[in-house]
Amino acid sequence: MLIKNSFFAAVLMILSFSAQSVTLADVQQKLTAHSLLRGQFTQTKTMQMFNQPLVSKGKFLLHQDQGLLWKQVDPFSVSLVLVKDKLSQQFAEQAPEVIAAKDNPMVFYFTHLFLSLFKGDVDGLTDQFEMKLSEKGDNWLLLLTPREAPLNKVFANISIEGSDFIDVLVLSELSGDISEIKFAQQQTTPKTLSEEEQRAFQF
Amino acid sequence: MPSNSKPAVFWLFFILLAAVGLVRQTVLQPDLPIETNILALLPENQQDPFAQQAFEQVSSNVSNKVVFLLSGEDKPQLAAAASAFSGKLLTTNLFSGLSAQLSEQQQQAWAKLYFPYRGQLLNAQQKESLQQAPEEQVTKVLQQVYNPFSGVSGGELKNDPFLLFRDYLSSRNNSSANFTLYQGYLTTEYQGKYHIIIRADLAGDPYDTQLQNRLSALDELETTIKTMFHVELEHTGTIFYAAYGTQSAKSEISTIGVGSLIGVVLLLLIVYRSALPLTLALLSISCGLLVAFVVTAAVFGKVHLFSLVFGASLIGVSIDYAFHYLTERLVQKDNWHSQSALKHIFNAITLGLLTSLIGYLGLLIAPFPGLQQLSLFSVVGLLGAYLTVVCWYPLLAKSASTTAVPKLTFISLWLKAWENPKFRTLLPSLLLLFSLAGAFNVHFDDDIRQLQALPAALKTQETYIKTVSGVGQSQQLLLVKAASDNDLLVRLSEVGKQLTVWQKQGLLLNYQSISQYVPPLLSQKENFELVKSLYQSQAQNLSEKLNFSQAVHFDQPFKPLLVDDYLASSVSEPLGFLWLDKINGKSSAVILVNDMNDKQILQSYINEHDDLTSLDKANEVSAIFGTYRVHISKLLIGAYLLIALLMFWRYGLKLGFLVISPPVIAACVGLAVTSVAGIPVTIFNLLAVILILGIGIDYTLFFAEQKQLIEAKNTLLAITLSALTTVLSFGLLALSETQAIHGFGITVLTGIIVAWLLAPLAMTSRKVKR
Repeated sequence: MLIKNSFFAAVLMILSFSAQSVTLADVQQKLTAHSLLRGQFTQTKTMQMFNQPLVSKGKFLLHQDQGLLWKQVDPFSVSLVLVKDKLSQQFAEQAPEVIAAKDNPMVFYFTHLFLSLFKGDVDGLTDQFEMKLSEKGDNWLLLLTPREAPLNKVFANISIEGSDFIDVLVLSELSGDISEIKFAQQQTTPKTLSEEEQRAFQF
Repeated sequence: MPSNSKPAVFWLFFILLAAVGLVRQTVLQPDLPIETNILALLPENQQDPFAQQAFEQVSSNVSNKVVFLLSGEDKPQLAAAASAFSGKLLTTNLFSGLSAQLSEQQQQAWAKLYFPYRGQLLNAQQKESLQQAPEEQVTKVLQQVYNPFSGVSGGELKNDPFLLFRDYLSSRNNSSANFTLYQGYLTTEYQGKYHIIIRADLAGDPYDTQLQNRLSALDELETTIKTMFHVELEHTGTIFYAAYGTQSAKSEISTIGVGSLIGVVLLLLIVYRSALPLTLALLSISCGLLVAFVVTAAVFGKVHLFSLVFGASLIGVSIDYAFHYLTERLVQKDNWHSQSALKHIFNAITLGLLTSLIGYLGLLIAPFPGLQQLSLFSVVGLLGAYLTVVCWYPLLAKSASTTAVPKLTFISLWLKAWENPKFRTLLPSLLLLFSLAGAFNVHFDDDIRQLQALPAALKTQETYIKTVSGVGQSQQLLLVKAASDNDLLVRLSEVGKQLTVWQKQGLLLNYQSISQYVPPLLSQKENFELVKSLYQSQAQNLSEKLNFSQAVHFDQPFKPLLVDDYLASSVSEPLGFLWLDKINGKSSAVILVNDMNDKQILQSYINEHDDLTSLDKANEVSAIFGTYRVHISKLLIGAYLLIALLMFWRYGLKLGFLVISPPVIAACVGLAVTSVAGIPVTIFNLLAVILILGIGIDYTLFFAEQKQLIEAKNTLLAITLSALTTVLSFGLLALSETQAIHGFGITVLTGIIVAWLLAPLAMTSRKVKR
């Protein structure tokens, strides 16, 4: 009995220790440590509507102040540029289409959310989500459960997994449909935007 | 002429009756019969009863709304403040309902309303693209499905594979474009701060003074919220302006009323130094006001505050009859006989009353309920004061005065000056010259908004709230009529097309119309066909590109979305009032145009279409004001010619001329001073001219009516007293915050002073020489 009890206490201690080992503040600190992040992404949408999962690949660039560049190259090329209150979409060789937040707040509601998830803006997310942080091997795993409409009408939860950077982002819908984005080859150098990248943010 | 006590008894009976009437109108009623709605002063739209009814429907709806704006830098704190505020708002008993935190149901309301009809709803852009290049819709779907930020869910794709509904829905929501939901609150960001908007509906009429009294509870609540949560809290709504109007009118009534009463009492005490004259004077004033209030309330149902403000100044005019009698008593001393004294002044005060009545009755002709009330109030009030003097004074003032006539050095000097022939011509000529110079400066302005005192603090809040919420600073109402609901929707969307063109040209900010929410039947059918053919031609293509597991097909039947469906939904709460109830069996609706810069182009568009009317009460009334300003000017000249004829008949050409010129010069000077002071001349200044002529001629009449030169001093004393009281009451009107009343006060003030200065002109030269 005594042994069992002390063992239990030890487990508790480990648990509480591990629970304290990584905090939301740590995650936020890690994700915002680098002002510039480049990498590759693979998005997989698994939906009942589709016979096979819909897979797309490309490159991304996240700048803490400027915003996000999202360049899909496969299965077709499209570039998305997301800044604070504007979104530009350029499809193949067509002229870019710009949507301003004030013209379409409904679209930007989700867009802002996505950017917050990506940037690890924990503060910005606490209003809308119940948060649970845990460890998964060497990685941390943040599980977000939406508190309010319209998000809780669509999503069961959203999970973010990572170490120094976000590695996986999973959006699970109530219907069972899942969108997963995996990130790879994240790099924090070069530390400045190239001219071309800089231009992409100007629109 | 009364020589016995019969009229006195009759008058007493009447006064007692009036007193009973007053008790019934005030004490025995739950509400005082006092109207504070500025709109009640205005004429109804005579030419267009349809527009009048439409205006009433819209204004009753709009004026019941109150908007609050909470602002702060800390978003969660702000939401907490909004929650605390909206939780307590109903306890003020001011509101019947509020919309603060949108429930999930309310948030889904738009989608819920439109979803069943999604196959027949397209915005202009979608329509165009489906007509020209339906295959592009497939590309758009692909793009959005792959785009991780678009938030396309599996469920959405299943219900609406071409993703048409989301674009339609977001284009409909543009009216509240600035706002997003935060914890269910409509929230927006502006100038580095967050703002939450809360709307509430009043529990009653914003002009109801009992409702207005509850504003203090709201005030307390607002202060608590502000200090507790460190947020800013702004509000706007008709009730705040109405309450302010009531408050300022009340304080003006008491300033003018108390001010002139104190002045009158002081004058009476200084000049007559005895209790009887004071009592008598107060008696005639109160009888006048009593009868005036009771009769006006009986005729019009309610007395408007505006009439009361002017009415309070009646104190200064109705006292005149008393002054003449009391001065007679003061001077006669031991020779005093109360009946023959009345005989002595009877002609003069009766003529004076008649000329005043001519002036006031002229106002009855104008079709403004406000002016008619004012006119009736004044006519009855003057008659009441006059009858009190004529019927009661001889009985009440039997005893002779025991006080000495006050030293009248100034009066003697002034009269002496008039004996100088040069002075007699020079002063009036100079004043006339000045008024001619002023005439070149006259600037007419018929804007009705001058009638309303708009406090800067409330105006600033309104502007701020409008800026933050992006609704534009000025709203114009466009009334559209049609034979049936569907015809109306067709017309609304046609007018909407024109407005959209102007909006794209930057001529207007935006507009709200029911056709933006409920497309006409024909257009729903067209959309339905477009969507159907989109499915027919592109479903295969889309299915292949996305590798759909099941076939995409369109199996919705056509079922029209009706205005009634929209009105039945909670989404119609903010703008449903734009759709009006049937008037004479016709359908009509109002389009709200925000910040129209080019009024001219809109007006000519309205003129070109018979079924369009601009619902602009302020402009409409201002136009009527302008017309009536001209009418009243003519009427005034007519009335004055009539008075002139009366004077020529009684006094002959020369004296008649001397009797009528001082008031005319006085009126001209009054207008000249007003325009030199930079105050625009309105219909109200013409009313002032009527008063100057009506009162000013009293002064000269008394000089003309005097039998001996020795009386000149008494006459001048009496008219000095009455001029002083008039100046006192109307001078106080010049303190009014309402520009129209302020201007009126200035004109009367200067006019009366000049009329008084020039009155000795009517002393005949023969008498002066002697």
